Amino acid sequence: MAEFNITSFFGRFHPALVHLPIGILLLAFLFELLSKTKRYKKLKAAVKPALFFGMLSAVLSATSGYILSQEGGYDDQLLTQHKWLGFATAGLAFIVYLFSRNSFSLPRGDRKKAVLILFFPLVILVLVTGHWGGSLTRGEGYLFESSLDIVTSDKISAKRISITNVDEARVFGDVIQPLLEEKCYACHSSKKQKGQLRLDAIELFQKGGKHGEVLVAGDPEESELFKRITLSVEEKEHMPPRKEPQLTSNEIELIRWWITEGASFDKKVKEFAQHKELTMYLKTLASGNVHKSWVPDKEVEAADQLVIKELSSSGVAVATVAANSNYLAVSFAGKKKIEQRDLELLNLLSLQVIDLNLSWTSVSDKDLARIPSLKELRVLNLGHTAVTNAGISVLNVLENLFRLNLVETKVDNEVLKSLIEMKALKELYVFQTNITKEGISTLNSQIKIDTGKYQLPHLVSDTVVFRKK
Amino acid sequence: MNQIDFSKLQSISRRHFLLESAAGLGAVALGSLLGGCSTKRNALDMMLDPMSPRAPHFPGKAKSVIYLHMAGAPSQLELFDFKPELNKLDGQPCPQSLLEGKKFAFIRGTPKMLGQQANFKQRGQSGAWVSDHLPHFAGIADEVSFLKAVNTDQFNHAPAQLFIHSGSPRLGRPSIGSWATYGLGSENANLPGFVVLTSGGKTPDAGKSVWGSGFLPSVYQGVQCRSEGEPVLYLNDPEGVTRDLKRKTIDAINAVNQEHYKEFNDPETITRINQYELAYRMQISVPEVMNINNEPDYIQQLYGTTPGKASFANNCLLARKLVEQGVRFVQLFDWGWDSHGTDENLAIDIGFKNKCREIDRPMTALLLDLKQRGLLEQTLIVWGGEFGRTPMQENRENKKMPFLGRDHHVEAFTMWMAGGGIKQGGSWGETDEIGYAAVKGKTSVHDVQATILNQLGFDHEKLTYQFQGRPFRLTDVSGKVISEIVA
Repeated sequence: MAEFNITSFFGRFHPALVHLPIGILLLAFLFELLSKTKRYKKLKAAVKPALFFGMLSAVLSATSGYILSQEGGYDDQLLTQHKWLGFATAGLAFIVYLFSRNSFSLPRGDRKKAVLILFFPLVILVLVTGHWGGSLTRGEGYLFESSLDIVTSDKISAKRISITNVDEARVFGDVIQPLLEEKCYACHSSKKQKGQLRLDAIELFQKGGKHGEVLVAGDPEESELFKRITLSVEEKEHMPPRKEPQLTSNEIELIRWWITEGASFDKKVKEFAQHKELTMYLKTLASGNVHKSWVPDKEVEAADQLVIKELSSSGVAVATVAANSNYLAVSFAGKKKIEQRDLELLNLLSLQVIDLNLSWTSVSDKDLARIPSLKELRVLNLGHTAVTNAGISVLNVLENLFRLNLVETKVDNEVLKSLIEMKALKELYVFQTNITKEGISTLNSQIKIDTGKYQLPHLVSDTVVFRKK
Repeated sequence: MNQIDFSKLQSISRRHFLLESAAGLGAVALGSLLGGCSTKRNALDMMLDPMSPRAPHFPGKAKSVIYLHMAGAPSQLELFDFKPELNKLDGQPCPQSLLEGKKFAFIRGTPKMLGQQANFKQRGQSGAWVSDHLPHFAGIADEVSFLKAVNTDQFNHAPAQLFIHSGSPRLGRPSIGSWATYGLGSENANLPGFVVLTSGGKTPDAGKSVWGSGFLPSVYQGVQCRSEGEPVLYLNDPEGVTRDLKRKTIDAINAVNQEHYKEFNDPETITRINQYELAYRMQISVPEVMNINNEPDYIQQLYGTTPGKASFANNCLLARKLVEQGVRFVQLFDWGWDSHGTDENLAIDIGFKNKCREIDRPMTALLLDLKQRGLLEQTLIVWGGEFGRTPMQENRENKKMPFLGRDHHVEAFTMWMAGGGIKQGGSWGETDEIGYAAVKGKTSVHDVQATILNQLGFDHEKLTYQFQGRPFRLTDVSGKVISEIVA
């Protein structure tokens, strides 16, 4: 978890705060003008408080904006302009406020005139600053860009399609674009347009950025995009910026391949010249082995801390699988005797437990009857326990379980029948059981079953001691 | 706020207070309010029970690490880095271009090139080059990923060992096993989280600092266990002292320590209390797990153990037993790999081959045994030395050596990793045609460390500890996860 920082937290309020000075200062100006008419003369009294709150919110906006700007990620030039305009707005608002409460002891007429005259540049500053702020977050030209453009432009689908068949996968849509999305879109898409570059719509991608086109079809070395990603990380021009997650060498090779082959936006893998190493990599991508986490995607509520505490104090190791996850890994390592209370507590965590280690414990078939309620279980280790076929047979309702360890248990070939019903099961360890290779061969199953008993041959070289000749 | 932040708060000084006050006392109050809302395990728990299991930054593939360190630095040129060009240059003087501006530990003047003293073959489907010195390991080459262009900047044993284990060539930093247990705690409350086993003979040149806890609370330092005699010295009760009496003694001592802690708030007091408790529990659990005699014969044969003696084979079997019981980090040190050619044992064509025989079967057995127990998926194995060896023959003091040998080499050497989410049959990095320097996929010691932490679920840039007014981390200010070998 990133360190929580109160200062940058305040900075995050900038996008909300900025609306206050715009509204309040414009309102103060409106009051000031209206108070000149007879009908709204009474509004005169409201100008001073409105100015005060407008000034206060402007100062807060400028401060929070300054803090936010320290996080980086914005177009430097735009940011500088917006920053100084923001400071100027806050400063001028303060001056106007001082005039209105007569801090400079001017004659009444002069003071009134000064306030009115200063109000005009203030309003202009507020509007201009606001406009630049909008350009920063929405992109330059957003205001005059036809709103139709955005809808009709060939917006690249941001939805990642899982590759099932490598040959049929679209090189750009299914391979290149997901990695651009992961590593580039934070700054080069509808969210932000650093260097006025957008990579999330085909037309805009082809159009390039501030320095012109970024793609030269067929020639990666001449393509600005490729040059930038292959520059030394130390260089300022290097992309992604040094502190951001970098492209891996495999990903860079994929981009090189895509550009060399003409930077097509619609061709499929099979239409490209094949490249042995990349095909291998694509296959691993397709198999979902890259970056794929075994933790469920869906969110779950946090487990009851009291339950965790009680389990922990009875010698069970309980921890979430990651700092930002509520899913739990539970291990009875070091606790041999399983008590009924432990199992009761475990059942209170049925939504969260995805990894359970009961190896080397007293767990019995009877205890296993409580396990099926742990619906989310992915990994279960029952190795070196007294469980038998009967106990295991109740586990076939665990439809997420993908790794089951039954090493040195009393199970035999019979148990396989109930295990092959488990939809997600991929890895089964049955070393030192009565499950035989023959028993496994009768099954027609995709499960990787490891019966172990690995031996190393006795080699002559095992005993040769080399000595000086 | 995570638990680790709590210990940071402890080190906040008046200076920090003034700095942080810039955001206003209101912000400080808000910060503490938000901190109080945290649903994660209370930071106080970590203070009071520093070995309690904790979550990494993201779900890790590996739960445990077994690190096999070949102290002295084995020759990559006789094991994994096949260079036919080097054999053609055998006996010729080394070109000046390779010597200019370089420092060597012992080579002086112009050394001669030394051809590879081994026969190489490509193995398995991956086609990895493994020499005949490792016949058993050659059979499992498809299970591992090789890093063939690891680079270090230390050419002497002690600093290089410190560098590879603590991220800094100087004393005082926590070792990687300490970082791992600091980050993850221990799965088994009855065993130490970080165990160190040495093969007997020499201990590493850098001494016990290579498994020290540096500025981390000393509860995270490696516990050295002996594979011969009593596994942990002075763990047994003295004659006439019963376990009950021992319990009473420890309770009394701990009560005094608790009082002391309340008064001074020194985390080292908590460490001391925990060590007493752990030692008490270990009296039962350690002799059991450290006893390899209970293992069946075919397992003993698989590893090639010699019960009752200190050996690398015994330690490999012990490593498996420890990991099986939830020990987080097992560090093995072997010795005798410093093949300078100064004597028979350190000759690259004699003693080196004996060393290879000693590790070949055990390390292969370890991988296979973890695999058949379903533990390889969640246990990362790392193998390597502190640097590599030169393609040139050593000529100490510019004289001919009595035996063939190679000097220390920092530019490029080979390490391998397996299990724990590492790609099977992978390889990353290439050296030039004589194996002198990296030409592709050069990786640093910090990259290797970043990768180990990554497999455990840590962002190496975020696993930090506040010390002397700044956050420290294992990889100092560099390091990049070697994604090329991550499955």
